[in-house]
Amino acid sequence: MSKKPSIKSRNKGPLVSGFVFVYVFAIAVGAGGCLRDGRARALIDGEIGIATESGVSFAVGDGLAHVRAIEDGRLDLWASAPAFELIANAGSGAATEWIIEVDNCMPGAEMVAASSGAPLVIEVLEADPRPVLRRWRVRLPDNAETRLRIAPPDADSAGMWRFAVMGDIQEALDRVDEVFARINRESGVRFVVSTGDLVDRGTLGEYETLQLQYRRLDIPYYTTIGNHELYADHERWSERFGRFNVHFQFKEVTFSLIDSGSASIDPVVYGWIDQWLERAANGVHVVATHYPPIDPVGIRSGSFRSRKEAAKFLSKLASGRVDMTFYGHIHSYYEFSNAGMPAYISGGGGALPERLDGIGRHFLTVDMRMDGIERVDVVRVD
Amino acid sequence: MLYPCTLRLLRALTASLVVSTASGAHGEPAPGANGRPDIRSDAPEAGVSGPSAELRPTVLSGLAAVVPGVIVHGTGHRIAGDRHAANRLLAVEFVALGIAGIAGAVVVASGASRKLSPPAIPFLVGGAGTFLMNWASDIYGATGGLRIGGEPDLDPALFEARLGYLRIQDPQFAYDHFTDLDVALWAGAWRIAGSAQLAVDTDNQRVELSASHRFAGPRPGRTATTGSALDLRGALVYHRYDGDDFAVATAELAIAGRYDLAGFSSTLRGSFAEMEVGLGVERIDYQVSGAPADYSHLLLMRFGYGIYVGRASGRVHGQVQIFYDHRRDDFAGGLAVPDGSNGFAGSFGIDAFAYWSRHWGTALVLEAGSSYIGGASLLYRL
Repeated sequence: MSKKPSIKSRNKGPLVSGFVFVYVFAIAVGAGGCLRDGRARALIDGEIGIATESGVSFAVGDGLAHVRAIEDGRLDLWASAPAFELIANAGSGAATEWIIEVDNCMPGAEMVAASSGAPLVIEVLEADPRPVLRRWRVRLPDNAETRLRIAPPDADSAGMWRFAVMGDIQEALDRVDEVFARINRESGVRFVVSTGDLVDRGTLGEYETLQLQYRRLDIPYYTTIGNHELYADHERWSERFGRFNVHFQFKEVTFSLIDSGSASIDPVVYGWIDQWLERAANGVHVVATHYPPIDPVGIRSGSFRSRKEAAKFLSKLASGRVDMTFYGHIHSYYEFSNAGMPAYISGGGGALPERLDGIGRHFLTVDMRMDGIERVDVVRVD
Repeated sequence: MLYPCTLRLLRALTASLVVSTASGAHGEPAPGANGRPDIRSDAPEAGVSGPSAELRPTVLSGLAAVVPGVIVHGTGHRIAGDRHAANRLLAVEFVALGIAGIAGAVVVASGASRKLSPPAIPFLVGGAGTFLMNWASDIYGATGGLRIGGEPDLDPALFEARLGYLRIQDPQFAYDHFTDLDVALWAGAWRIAGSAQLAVDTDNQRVELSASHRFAGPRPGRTATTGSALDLRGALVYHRYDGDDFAVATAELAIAGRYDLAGFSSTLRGSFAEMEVGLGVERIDYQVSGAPADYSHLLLMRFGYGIYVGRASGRVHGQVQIFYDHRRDDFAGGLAVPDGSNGFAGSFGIDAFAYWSRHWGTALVLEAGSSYIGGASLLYRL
């Protein structure tokens, strides 16, 4: 027990004390920032694939390809889906002959075009050594709308086929070519679906490296983002690869790649998800997003920042009869079930691995049959 | 080999632990007005630690407690002239950072291993929490918080009830307005409580039943000499989100403690620190045909730093507390941050209550996570 301390001051302390308390709380609330940081990305999604040059306006259906460059008579696209439609509206006196180049394109993809119901002649230009880079030349009629479709010949027919799933490359970007080489050796895989975290800090150098590494992959890489793309300006992503949320169909299977990079999904995107689920209700639907809604190791909580939002998301997917869910963020492999839907976490792209799990770098292969999913296998890289 | 300064720090820490243990002893203070104990601030007190200090809190000491005090805890007290308290605060910082650092290293080095991270994360959060509360203590003392800090409630009311309003801004859910009802009754060392939050604008209801056993600390009929307390708490929570087609039931068990910081240093009289650690098991029921329930674990960790307001015998008596809650399953969810670090933190908040008569009082709460919460309640006690 001791004496009461004496205080010698001019008593400005309480004021400062009160100020500090308010300040600390303001920091806490300020750190919360905007509750909808995914909204800005959703709004960008709505502007992807739209460009005008030399009197011709182009619009990619559902934003499934990003306009990387456009100049008089030339359009460069980055594909975010195996099949997409391009609508061109040429005014009078507009440039008529266009070279359209599509990177991250399905090998063997074809372009078909029609204007006013009449098919147009498409010239296939010299093939690039890279199977995912395709070029065509097309003459667009004046004062008319032209619809072009870029897709492999079997894009709309059901059948047996395969795709790969991977995520979480991050600081292993310099050696992800080893994973890509292993994917290239896997027979019958048509494309890769990624759950994000392709870069670590989102530096410009990392994005340049990523572009170079993509050149080592013989099939397209369709992806959403993870949280690591958000350590820098998210427009670094959209300026290169377009949409954050991607929804497409291939061989009668629907894919929804959803942006959960903020450990949450923006309400705008939930609106899209409702439409996507409705459209795919009677078919096979695969959903991929970065954060697992609920971490199978609950105490770790490497998951959505709100568990009630996680439950809402899973409830939506279950009511939409989603067939399979893929997640990343956790650098290991997990197979479990959420709301009765098969769920896989595959974060084996090379980022700091979870130890003591005996997994290491890996990716998944998914074998599709005529009416559903046949099997999912883990392919180890190391 | 231990350096002399390290030895001094360890001695200071040991001394603080011994004092804090001793300060938990029970006594029977003389009853004051309204049958409540009357502790005069100019009388020697039980459970108050530290030597006679010529504390000179100034604006400079207050600011120094913030910066560089955030790095070197105790800086504010040192400048205010209390080296003894400064050394103890530095010792606690040393230990807290050590615990958090080791636990964080385990989590990072193991890649958030499913085997190692569940036992490490509570130490990481607990160490970080102790660090923050210790920093707040330095700010409190160095800004002359002693002048505004009041007295703990050493004779809790047998029965308490609360009726209030909650405004919850959550972009993910349609609800905004809730009624908040709480009742609590002491029976010996047991405190039985029930609460309900009922949305008035959508179909959403949360109810909780809890029972706490107080091992040490004030309770009706057995008052203590300090506000320090130790409780074991069990709770059942049911939260129904009918508009979003799911419901969550949670069973919780946690140990919760309050440390009256007068026992740590006489300069901190009038303030307290709280920490709770426990485990929850939740069951998510989806109101979707054929969707089975999901089960998950939940780490319950909450820490807070607060000050008592007024005297038990005075006109106004209550407390103000800043807190962090690690759980992500409640209304607040996890903190939304503007970059890629989402998904790790829980919510921050400030809550306060004050009784302004023998029976009646008022409570306020603000909380920021993936939603913003503000609430006000009317309190009644017997």
